[in-house]
Amino acid sequence: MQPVDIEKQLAKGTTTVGLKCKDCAILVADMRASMGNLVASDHAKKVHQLNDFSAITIAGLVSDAQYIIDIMQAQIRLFELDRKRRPKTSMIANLVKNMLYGQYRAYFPFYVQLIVGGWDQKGPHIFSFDMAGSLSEDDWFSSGSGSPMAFGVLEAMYEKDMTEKEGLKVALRALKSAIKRDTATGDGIRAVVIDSKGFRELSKEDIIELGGII
Amino acid sequence: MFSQPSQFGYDKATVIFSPDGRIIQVEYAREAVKMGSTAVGIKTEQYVVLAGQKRTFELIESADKVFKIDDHIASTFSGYSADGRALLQRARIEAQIERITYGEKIDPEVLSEKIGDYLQSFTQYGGVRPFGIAVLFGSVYERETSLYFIDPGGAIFSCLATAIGSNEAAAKETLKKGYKRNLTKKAAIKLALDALKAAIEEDETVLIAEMAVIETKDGLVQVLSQKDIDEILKT
Repeated sequence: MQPVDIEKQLAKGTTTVGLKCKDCAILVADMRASMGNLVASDHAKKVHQLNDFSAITIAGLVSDAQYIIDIMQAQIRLFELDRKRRPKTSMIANLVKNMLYGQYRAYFPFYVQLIVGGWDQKGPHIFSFDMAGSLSEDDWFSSGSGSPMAFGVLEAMYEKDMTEKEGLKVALRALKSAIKRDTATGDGIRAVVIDSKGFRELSKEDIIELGGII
Repeated sequence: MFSQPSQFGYDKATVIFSPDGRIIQVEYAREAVKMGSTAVGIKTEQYVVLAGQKRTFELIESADKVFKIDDHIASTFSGYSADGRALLQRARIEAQIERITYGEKIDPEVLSEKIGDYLQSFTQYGGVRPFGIAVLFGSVYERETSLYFIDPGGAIFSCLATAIGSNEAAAKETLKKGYKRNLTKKAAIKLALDALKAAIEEDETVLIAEMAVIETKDGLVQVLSQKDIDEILKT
């Protein structure tokens, strides 16, 4: 099997959404892991905590993504121990960017689409990446096979300086559209908020109350 | 018994401790620092001043004494100038590595630690000699002034004011007397010059200084020649 075929087999259909509100960054993702037409998992974890004030969503090849997360967590911890301070969200984004670009230039890119969200002294941030290592700071972004549906909702509903509750409603609405129309997206939602108090994962009850499904 | 370190060869390599726990090669390196032209550093609430004496020789144009490492960090050293240039090049590269890795300016404390680590490695492995220099890094980072002194063994000290190089004790004495946390820019420059003058007193030569000043206002390194310094002192 060619590498590309393997990627098609293992590639995870997904929808993830990252969104910036007035005082917080929001990351949400579905929980379905697919291998072609097979649902490989209905409880896949696609939003991962990086440190107390940042998280990352993953879409694409799970092994690549998990490896990147492991390396990032280690690098951030070393940074915090060495310097007795937390890296800014943009610094974390830079680390991810360099890792992706290095691998791309080695002719075997990490097969991932990532979104980093975090909170630092300058407020909330959302950063998005592509496989080749490009980086951009966004108000909102979506990745994965269901992202076209999510993009539509976000394009229509996103507003600047939303409250946490308003932002969560928009993000969950976007994800719900993707779950309905993309076969590779589904099996519930995991949602994370990062604000001045740090990383917080929403309970199932909270998600349902805000219009999401589990 | 240990008064003659060379008797047993304890001074022949940096990998060998003398029985009283010293690394004699590092101490010799400190002696090399004392032969270098004097340099001083002062950190106040709003300013960082690095100043060094530019030695002049007949028919030779004098070499630079203070150096810009990045927009916000300046450096000066005393000792073997070739060792100094090599180390400062390393510091400049570390500053750019930080920019590529994190997309941010390097924290001067982090830079000092990296340079300290590098110097330390020359005290623990065979086949090398320590750098024959002491270095000062001055910086404004996130609106805070900082001044670091690194010795040839790689030890790092954060200082309010310090001097390195020939006759450093006399320069330090002047700094001790004149230092205040809230010195104005002009007063800090003047104190740095006085300290250098105290160090070269015995030589009876005219002081030609070079200086780097960093203000918290913009956090950018300004390198000043003796002419520039005279201009400022005139106003």
